[in-house]
Amino acid sequence: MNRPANCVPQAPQAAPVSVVCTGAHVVLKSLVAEGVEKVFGLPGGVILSIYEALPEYPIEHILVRHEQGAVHMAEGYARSTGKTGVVLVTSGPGATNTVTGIADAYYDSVPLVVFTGNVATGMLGNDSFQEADIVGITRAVTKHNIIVRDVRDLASAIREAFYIANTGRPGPVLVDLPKDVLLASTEYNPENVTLDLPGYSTETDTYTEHDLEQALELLRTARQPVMLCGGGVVNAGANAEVLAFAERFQLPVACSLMGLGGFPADHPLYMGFCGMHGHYWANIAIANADVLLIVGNRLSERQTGKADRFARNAKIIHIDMDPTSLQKNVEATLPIQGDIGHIFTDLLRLTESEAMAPHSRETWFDTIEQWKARRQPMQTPAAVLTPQYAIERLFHWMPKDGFVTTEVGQHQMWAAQRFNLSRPRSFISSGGLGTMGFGFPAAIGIQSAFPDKTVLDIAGDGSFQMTLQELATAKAYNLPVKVAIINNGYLGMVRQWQGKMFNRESETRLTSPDYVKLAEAYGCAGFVVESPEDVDRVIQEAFAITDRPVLIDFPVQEKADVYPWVPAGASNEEMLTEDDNKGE
Amino acid sequence: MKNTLCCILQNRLGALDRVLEAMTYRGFIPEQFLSSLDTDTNCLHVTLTYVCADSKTIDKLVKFLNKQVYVLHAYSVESASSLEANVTELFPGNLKPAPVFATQNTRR
Repeated sequence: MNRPANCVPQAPQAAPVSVVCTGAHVVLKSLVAEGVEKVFGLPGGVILSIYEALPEYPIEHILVRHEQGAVHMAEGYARSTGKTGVVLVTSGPGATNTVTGIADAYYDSVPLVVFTGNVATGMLGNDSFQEADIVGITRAVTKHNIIVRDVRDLASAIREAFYIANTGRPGPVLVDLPKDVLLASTEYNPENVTLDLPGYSTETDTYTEHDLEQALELLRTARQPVMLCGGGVVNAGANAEVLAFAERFQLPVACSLMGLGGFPADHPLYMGFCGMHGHYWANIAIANADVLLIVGNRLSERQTGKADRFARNAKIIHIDMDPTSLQKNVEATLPIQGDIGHIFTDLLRLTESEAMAPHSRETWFDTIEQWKARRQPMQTPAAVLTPQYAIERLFHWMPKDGFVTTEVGQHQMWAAQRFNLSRPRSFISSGGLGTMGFGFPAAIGIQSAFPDKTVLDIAGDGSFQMTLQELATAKAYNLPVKVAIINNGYLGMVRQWQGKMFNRESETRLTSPDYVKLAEAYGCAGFVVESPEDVDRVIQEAFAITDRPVLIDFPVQEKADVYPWVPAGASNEEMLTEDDNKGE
Repeated sequence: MKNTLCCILQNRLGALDRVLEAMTYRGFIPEQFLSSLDTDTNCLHVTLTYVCADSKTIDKLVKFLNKQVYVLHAYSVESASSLEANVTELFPGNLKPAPVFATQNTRR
């Protein structure tokens, strides 16, 4: 039997056996015990002991080129699989480089456990080389974090970290590992690892049957109801229950950015994307609703516009598992706290014998259709490649079992408007923090979990240049991620805002490398689309490549703006459309 | 309006930091601070007085604090009087943590 030299069995017992081993081995044994198969990381001085032991464990390590990339990859992995993403980095800059990714995971409720190294406990506070108080730095952007100062606490700390990350409202947990803790020896027995978290409750259901009856009564009598699905539906895995309920009550459904995929995009009840750049008819339907059922959405200002005018004619039923999301930004008539899956299972049970007549909301649906008909998307000019057209064709050719990520900016909103997949966890974007550079590493994380599926990152030239060094990572593992760069030569969303709000564009013009040459330099495939007629052919050729990463450069119309657009501080009803723009 | 925030914390590294940082970020400036450790339960009892006129902001803070892993219970009461006189009232006996915690917590 191959056994680590510093991992000596204490007694010949039946497995699991209690062993004396170093902290480094405790970390790896704990990961195996948690079912971790994949870790995204980058080695460094204080965590060498973990990397020395790593080959002895059944854990695949993805070596990244920058720690921010590791966290976004872990996010993509976690959001696409539903498992907890794991990151391993060293101290100092290794740790601080993870902060943006951790914050991104925090605001988008992604279960991660991030292991950072630190200098030895005796050196903490000495301004030692590559020392950083990463626990202090990340306190505000983690669900929980801890520095382990005694090797005897290590196994429990890791057990707690996974438990906290993946229960309740998911989120990132950081475990800081001083060098001496990893080198010290302790007894490890997985059966003796306990949780000591009396203040942490995973029981989120505070609702009563009376609450549900009240909600049902509002919906039964509603003439113009709307359901708004947020990311909570996806996280809860409650899409089937939510769909069944929407069908039973004939509720038109809009999705937030994080909720995309939570309701099938090809369903007749699906209205589309709502919020600041949402579909006109979805926003107007919400504004005119008499009952608005909000499910798993924290109602940020990007969603609501001016909060006190959001759905002002509606009685609002707000369902969320997180009590801090209820009555925070919008006052609900009926806040209901609990697990979304549990609530909708109960709602379906309570209405088992009920069925809305299929056309009982005919007038309401007709009205929505009229709004839709009046605001069809702008037609593509034949001579110019528009970003909207490029993205539309990408979705056209996207296999239905594929995954789409985005970066952040104009392309992200155009992608959300055109999203046409029908599976939860198929659209993965940075919603809360809005992290440029998220989409490409996230796509690598997804592709590593689903090597046979098509994974497409719809990127902007500004965003892609923030994390493009991970091309080396994708190539090293031959992960055939497709990156479509919607290349308008601008920080497009910033330019749009500057132009509309300040009448002056400033520092938004961007230069790009030759993306085909860049791809080739990294050993990837590269394409450039020369004209609108080439779009379909190039996409098909690019999608057919399955042995290496692919970059597609779409040099698009430079100054296209995203519409509809709710200017900051305005209500959703005051959104600007293409027609308003033409009139200027 | 003067208020008092009362928190019972699992006395582990970082527990108090989370409370204070949450208050700082939301603009709560403490005027008075008292804390005491219950060594039987390893619970830290903390009271802070602060001025805040907006009850909604206070509600949001308290909800946020109660979500923190090491916070066993947090609540806010209106109080204009000296903290020392009210500490016993602020932490009535029925707020003691669950027995499992009292017997198992040996964490440094």
